[in-house]
Amino acid sequence: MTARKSKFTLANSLTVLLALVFVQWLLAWFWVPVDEAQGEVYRIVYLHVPGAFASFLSAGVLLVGSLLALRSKSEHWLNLSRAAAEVGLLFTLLTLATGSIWGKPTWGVWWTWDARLTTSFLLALMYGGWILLFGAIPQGPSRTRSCSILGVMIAADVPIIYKSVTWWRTLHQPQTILRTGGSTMDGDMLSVLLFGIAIMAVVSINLILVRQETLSLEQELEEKSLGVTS
Amino acid sequence: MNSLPDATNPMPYLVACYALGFVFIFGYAAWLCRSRIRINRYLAALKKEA
Amino acid sequence: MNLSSKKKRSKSTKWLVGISLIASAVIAMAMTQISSNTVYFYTPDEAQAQAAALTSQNIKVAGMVIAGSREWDATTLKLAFTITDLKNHEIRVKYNGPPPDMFKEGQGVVIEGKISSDGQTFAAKTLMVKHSEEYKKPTAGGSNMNKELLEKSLFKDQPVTNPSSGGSTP
Repeated sequence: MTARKSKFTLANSLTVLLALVFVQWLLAWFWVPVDEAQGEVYRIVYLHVPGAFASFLSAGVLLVGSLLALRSKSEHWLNLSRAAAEVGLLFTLLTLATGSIWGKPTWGVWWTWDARLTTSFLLALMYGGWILLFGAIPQGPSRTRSCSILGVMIAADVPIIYKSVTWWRTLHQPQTILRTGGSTMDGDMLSVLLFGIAIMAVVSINLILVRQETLSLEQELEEKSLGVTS
Repeated sequence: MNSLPDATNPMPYLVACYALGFVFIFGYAAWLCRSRIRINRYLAALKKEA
Repeated sequence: MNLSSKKKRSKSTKWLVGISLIASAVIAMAMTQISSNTVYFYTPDEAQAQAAALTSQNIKVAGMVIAGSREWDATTLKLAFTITDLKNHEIRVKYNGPPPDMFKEGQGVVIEGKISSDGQTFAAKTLMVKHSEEYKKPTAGGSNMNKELLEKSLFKDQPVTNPSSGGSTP
């Protein structure tokens, strides 16, 4: 009696998703038309915006992990939180870097401290802070509590970042997609952008889950090799 | 009337961004997969000892 | 025994670093966002209304570039142009160096520098382009951009109203 082994693993899905990311990048470089105002350099949007969205989504996962950890007081949810913080930091740094590189030929500056950029920078700082905090406090309820509280703060920054271009005067332009009156992006361009956002969203979730699994396995490995019975 | 300098070449900026995207995303994924393979190996070795 | 106390010390250091990062982040946020005195940029009429008080400060002003107002000397690298808030408040801007590629008439700019005490001229040390949130493919019939969108994001009200300003409505 042989059970058919499921071919679906998180690693397999990640491979497929990364291939789709690559396809979206090809579309961004070779299929979508050029922009009337910015010329070719606007194609950075197809990486910058999906990356930003992924960093927000990671904060959402971090919020879930943090709230569950605070409620159950269990260590178990810290692995999810830690994975979300790592992936969140990754995408936030990527967003800041691509945004800065895009800013130079368009705005004329690599950086400015307007509300959008400042709150985004804060997000990166807090994600990094989470990882440092986790490493600094010894295992126990105190660590779970502190990290979870920071996780909630990180999630609170996300709507502020999103609304910053509406609430304050900024160099960064207002929202392009989600706005009253419909999006201000041409159809072809918008399709590839939405495709990119969707794919990057699933990629970030997948990365978080693989990392969480790995962290759990690492713990299992440590317990087994130390001869500790859980 | 004097003319302004030529427009900036967009290619270095585009390449830099997508190269960063590749290194960050694909690099992290690759590192994840490598560490997972390593852990699976250790776990399998431990199971053999048992 | 020595190893465990070493571990404890490096762990506290990491904790301190982590806490300081978070604390400085919160403080930075509070200072730049909540303070009612911090304005990212003034509109031309706000800057002119307070020019006497602002003249010694490094400020930012945003405006739209008036068609035909640009003067550029390629030998001295001196640039001059006029910005407006579309309500007859105009400021003549002087800047050293070429502008960013997207600079053109009808474009939004954010300038950083000092305004003259009469509010008529501005010595800019930084010149930034503020473009709209539109992405359109080029067509033969001219620009597809909606000028109103740029106007709205340039001249919208400050969230914390400044009682001494001219008070432009969004």
